[in-house]
Amino acid sequence: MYFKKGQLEIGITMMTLLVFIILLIVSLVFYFRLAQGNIKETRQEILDEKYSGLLDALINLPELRYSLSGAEKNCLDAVKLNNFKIITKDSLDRSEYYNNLLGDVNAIWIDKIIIENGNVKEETSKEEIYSIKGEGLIYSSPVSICNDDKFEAGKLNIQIK
Amino acid sequence: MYNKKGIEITFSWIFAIIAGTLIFLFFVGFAAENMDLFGKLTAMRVSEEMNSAFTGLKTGLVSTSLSFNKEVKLQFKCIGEKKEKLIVGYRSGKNLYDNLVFSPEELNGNEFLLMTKSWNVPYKVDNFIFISDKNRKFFLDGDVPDGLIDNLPDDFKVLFNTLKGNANKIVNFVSSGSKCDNTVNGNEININYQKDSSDNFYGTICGKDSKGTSWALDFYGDAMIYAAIFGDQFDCLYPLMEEKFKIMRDVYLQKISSITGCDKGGLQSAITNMDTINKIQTYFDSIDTKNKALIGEGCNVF
Repeated sequence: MYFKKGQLEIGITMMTLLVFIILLIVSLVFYFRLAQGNIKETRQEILDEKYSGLLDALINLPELRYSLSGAEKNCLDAVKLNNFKIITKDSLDRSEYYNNLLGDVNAIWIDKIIIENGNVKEETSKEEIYSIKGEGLIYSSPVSICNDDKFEAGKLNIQIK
Repeated sequence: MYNKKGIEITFSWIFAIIAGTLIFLFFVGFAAENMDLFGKLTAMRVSEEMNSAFTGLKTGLVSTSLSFNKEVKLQFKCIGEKKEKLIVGYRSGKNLYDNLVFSPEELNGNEFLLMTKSWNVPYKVDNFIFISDKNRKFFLDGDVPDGLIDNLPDDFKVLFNTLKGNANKIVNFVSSGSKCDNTVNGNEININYQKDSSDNFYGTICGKDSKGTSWALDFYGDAMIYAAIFGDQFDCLYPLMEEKFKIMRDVYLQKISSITGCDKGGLQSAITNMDTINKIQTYFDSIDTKNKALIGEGCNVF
């Protein structure tokens, strides 16, 4: 079977176009995968910054911070920690305020570090500060806890939805 | 008789023009879409990082500046009661929720001035964050309280070097116990103040919101005066300040109720009675003195 010259040229153009489109699709797929990877990385960086910032904010929250004679000390107040749940659930408005402040935070708790005979022993029981529900990524920061007559060390944890 | 070669050449040209145009449009669309996408990402990142910076700044008393590589437009808008939104270049919005940020409603530039100030009643309620661009000018008129400008960081002091006619905002001070006059122009606020025995200012602040509605609100402490000077959001963030004030009142009432073995009754009733901002000046001294007495007994409240 013979092809006319015109048909042959259209065929060649179509083939060129097809190869061009395939190359275009392959490069677009490659580009978007790369872009998606970058976006995921950026998102994770932003989230890490956000939740580290939130941990810092929690540690410095006047609702939890220990102060003596009006001057803030570099530790959390053991009594305020115990009462935090009551304060956050005081009213609907109050709950909404703390839900907005804490955002995706599922839970806040402290693992107390107890030193026995010179050995560091991390207490396994969670000292719950804010409701614990579900599972999620955990961000932590070391903290000291002050009471009028004693000082303790611990790890403040937040769990993200 | 048809000229077949002629038709073939015309077809090739039409085909080339249509295919070329489509491919060209595709690339133009792709480039435009991606530029837009990256613009959105940058704006999102800036708003997220600014919110993190505000949260970090809140934790201490600082004065600093925030620089960007290019000119940025920032808007701090009130959305309903107790909520403020940061918008970066019309694109990305971020609710600030807990951060009390006071600034002009719209800021432009590549460098912004930031400072924080603690609001104590006498226990700390929160740190207020103040932000301004370098071109903003404020004019203080009338009985300006002593030390109000001197206590500011140098970068912020410069913002007050202006003539009344060139100022973006005019603040009229009256040293008086009466309520301030709330008939003001859009870029003015009136502050009537007095000084209490602890050398803190208290009184009323009057202004007009963006819709032209007049407001008059009680204040206590210089942090609230700075909030009214630097912030266009003073009236709409006032309920959030009240909420924070009530939260800290409850925090210390709870703490007092768990104290045993000390004479806590006086402090408990003083904090209970200080239930609104206009009562702070009545109980400030008494709360401060009674707290110190409790510390002397070995029971610390704040």
